[in-house]
Amino acid sequence: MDCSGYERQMSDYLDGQLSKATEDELRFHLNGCPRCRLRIKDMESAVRAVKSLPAVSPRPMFEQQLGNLLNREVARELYASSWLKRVSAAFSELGELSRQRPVQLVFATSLILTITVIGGFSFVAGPTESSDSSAGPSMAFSLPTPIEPELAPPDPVSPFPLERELAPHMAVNPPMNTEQATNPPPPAATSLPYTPNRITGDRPGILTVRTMEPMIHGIRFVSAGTGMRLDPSLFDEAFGRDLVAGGDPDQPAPEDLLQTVGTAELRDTRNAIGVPGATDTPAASGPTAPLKRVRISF
Amino acid sequence: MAENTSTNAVQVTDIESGVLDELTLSDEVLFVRVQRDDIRAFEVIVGRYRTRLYNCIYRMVHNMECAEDLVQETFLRVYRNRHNYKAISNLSTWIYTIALNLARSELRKRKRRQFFSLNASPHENSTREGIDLPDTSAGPGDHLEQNELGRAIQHAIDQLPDKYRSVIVLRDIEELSYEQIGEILRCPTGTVKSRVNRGRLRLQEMLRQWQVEIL
Repeated sequence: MDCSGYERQMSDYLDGQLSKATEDELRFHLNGCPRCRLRIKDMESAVRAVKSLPAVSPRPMFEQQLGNLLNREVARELYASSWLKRVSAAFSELGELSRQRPVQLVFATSLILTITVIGGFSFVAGPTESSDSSAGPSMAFSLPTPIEPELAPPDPVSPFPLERELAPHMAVNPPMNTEQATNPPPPAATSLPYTPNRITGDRPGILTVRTMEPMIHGIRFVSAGTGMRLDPSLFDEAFGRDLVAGGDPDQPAPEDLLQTVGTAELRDTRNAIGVPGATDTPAASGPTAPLKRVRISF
Repeated sequence: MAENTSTNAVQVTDIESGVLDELTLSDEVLFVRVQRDDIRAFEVIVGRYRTRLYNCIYRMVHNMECAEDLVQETFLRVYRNRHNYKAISNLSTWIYTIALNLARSELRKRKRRQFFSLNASPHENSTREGIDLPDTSAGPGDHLEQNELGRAIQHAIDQLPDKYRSVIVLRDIEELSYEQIGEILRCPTGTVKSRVNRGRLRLQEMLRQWQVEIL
């Protein structure tokens, strides 16, 4: 074997990876070859130099950044799994219902469709009738005008149980975020006479919204009225899950993982219609009703 | 095999009863907890690997911010893919594989950027005063090297081709075994040994050159 062959064994020799026989052969060669002896000495120095490099540590704030990032990831996954679970549960329930009571299901579906069509028709027709005739037909496609409470038709049975459950008149104090404070709550949310459920109590209930979503800066508003029908697709089930009293027993409590991004004060506004920011309104007496779920639109 | 299964069964029972302290559990057993969505167990794993990974990636990319980003990305990927981890391999091997892939991908991106900046025609932009060359001045992490020799060694590592740099960092800095390095880089142990040898020879030449310049 020539020098280049022995050169290929040098690294293994330094790491003790050579067999006894090969090591002896290399040593014998090194004794008689000053060039290879110098080569292996240099290599040993280079390896020692690399190993002597000090261990570098990340900057002090890195640990916190990493923790925050992982918390966000954990929370995101929790929300996603919760949403998926709800959707799959809804589909399985629907499938079960279609097997057990197909006639009732067809009837309920057609009823909901009828209500939706009638509601949509009156919704489109409403602003056109009350608008100025000079505005032209394009007004039918403009944004809906808030309906006056006196003129508002009685709310049909909501197809969305959450909203029916909720429907109390609540005002939301503008969030502490100044950007949000300049964003007035929609008028319909505080001017509705329909109150099937109410949140009452000596103290105003505090709704704390926890989210890890970095793009959400605060609560824009809380929909509490039947006149202000929100698009169901806006409702993130994940927020509903977090606000359900007691939580999901199958899931670990996410409180420790989440960041509070804002709080909004929920008050009984039967006496404070149109004054969402007022704090001196006397609240109705009685024990605080348990808040089951709240739909929030961000 | 049967003995191994029974050992695992005992460990899983211990995990469920919460008898063992999570700080004394092996990485693999802890990761079983992580796969059951135990966040605390994942925090322990992160605590064990955070600094080691940072050191390894920093030596590869030689940039503090970039190393921090890559460590974060590594842990994110570990968590997201936790159910893909099979207990037949070492957890450390799996984590290092993810980290090394990210670091090597970053090095490839840099090389592409450097290639395009060198190949850009000077006529493309009349205001252009020259072409971009790699910055050989002190990088943002150079202050971490305490002395001239440290800087020279890191500079020599930076000059190594990626395939040699990876094995040198894993072998001489992280002190992993040849077998582990082979698993991480998905190549035979013989190839790893050969690369380590060539990488060391190149390092030796560069450091000798540096010594000549200094003296």
